[in-house]
Amino acid sequence: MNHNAKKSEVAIEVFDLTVAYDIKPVLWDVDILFRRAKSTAIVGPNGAGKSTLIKAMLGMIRPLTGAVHFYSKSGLLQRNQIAYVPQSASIDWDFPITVLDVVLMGRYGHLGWIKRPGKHDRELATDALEKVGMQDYKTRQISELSGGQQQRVFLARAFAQEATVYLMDEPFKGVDASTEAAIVDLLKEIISSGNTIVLVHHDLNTVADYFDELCLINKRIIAHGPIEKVFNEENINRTYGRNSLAKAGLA
Amino acid sequence: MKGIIELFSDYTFQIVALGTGLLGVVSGVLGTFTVLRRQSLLGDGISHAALPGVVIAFLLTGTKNTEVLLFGALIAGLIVSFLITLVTRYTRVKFNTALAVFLSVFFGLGLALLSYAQRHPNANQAGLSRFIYGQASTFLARDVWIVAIAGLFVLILVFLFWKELKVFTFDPTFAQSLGYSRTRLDMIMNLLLVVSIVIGLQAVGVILMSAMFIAPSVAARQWSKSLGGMVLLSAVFGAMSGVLGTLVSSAYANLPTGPVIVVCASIIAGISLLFAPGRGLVHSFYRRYKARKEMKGKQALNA
Repeated sequence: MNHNAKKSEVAIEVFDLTVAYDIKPVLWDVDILFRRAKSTAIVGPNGAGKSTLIKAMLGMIRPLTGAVHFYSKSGLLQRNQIAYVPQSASIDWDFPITVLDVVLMGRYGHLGWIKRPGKHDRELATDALEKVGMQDYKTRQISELSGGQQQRVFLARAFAQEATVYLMDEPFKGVDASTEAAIVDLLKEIISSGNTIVLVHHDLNTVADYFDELCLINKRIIAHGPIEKVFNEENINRTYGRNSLAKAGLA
Repeated sequence: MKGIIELFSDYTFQIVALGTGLLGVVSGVLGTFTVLRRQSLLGDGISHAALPGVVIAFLLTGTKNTEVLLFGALIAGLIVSFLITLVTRYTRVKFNTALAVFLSVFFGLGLALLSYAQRHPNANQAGLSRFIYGQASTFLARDVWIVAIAGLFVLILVFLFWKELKVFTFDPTFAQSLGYSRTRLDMIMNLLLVVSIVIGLQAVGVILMSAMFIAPSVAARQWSKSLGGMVLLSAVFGAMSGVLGTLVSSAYANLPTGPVIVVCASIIAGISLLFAPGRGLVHSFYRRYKARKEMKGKQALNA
């Protein structure tokens, strides 16, 4: 793979990462680096360890072996550089909370224990909402939002973190076409301002349009690199099993 | 009416109502978090598990001192909350299964120890059985002080860690990604829960205590749009249940206070589930009925 990249071009490096739940290995000896100011889609079948890779990179799952470095330093020290966008299905959208309050949580990492968000944090949260076009929903209950609006709120929360690395777990899940287009624009904006995106993705049809690099994964890294080099039938078949391209409706 | 006024000026009533009211505030506040974390029954597990703690404290010291007995309950509650968290985190056993196992094992142990302890000459005096169904009428001024001090401790911690409790209740994985320690937060949460359960045992008892957490918060959820609002309202509903329950049970001498308090809390929850605007059953039925009628009208026009 492309280990010949210069240090300054690298945002995240993953070394020899092996993760197991109980005794069942989910990720095997993953070695990968994510380039700065690029967007990488992590694609693979269900149970391939895509979300696990993201969570292990965040230090939420303790791996059996391996290490993750952000900007060549140990991951945990770089918390405020990293914005995590979880799957929107992972939370209770009936929770009694307003849109602005959710976005404000993006500031909590900068505050530390006990300290409350102040005026500056509220301004940043409002700016983030404007960025995703949700400023009119500031005081709405999150239970009133559509799937696409929920995802925008999650993105706004990530923007409020003022991070330089964005780790996203299926942000296109359950959103309509217009929201998808809006999210893609936002992703491009993140990249053009020099920040890095690693994103779990499901739709092979859009991979080539949306992302710079592709990481095909099925417990191991099958292939990784620029879309034009990696995105081909052979690699897809090696990831999903034979003739899966036809099944995915791409052939 | 005159009877009620007399009751309110009665010292014993004042003491008991103050105690149960404070209790309602504390359990209402904590209940909000457990209900929203979908761990409503954690309180049930902890309160049942407190029984052997009470009895062991008695067997070891032979005292009838409420502080000592409740300290035993506190230790047992902390142990079981720790075990449930541990088993859920590190084994494949699910939360509700772990809860059911520890609840029945500890409660069974408590009952067995209790019948053993009854042979002890001081056992009746110590009134151990009051911890099963609760007996608020045994509240003395010093018991109210216990509730007040422990309750204040809980409320101060909730205030201090408000932001952390909020983000962990809403989105625990995101909170972890920000660098907040889940273990530390679980420990704080369990400590608060155990303390607020323990102070209610004497008045409400181990069996019904969890209702004091669930009912006021379920009711409050129906009326509130923010976590802060829900916590405040739940505290108010808890206090109302405590005072109202004490009032009813004092007016009718034979009614036990704990169960009456729980009935009051449940009535408030029932009314809220039915009649709250927006989320209430009646309102949502009416909304659907209206929408259907409008739809039919439009179809008739089109036809």
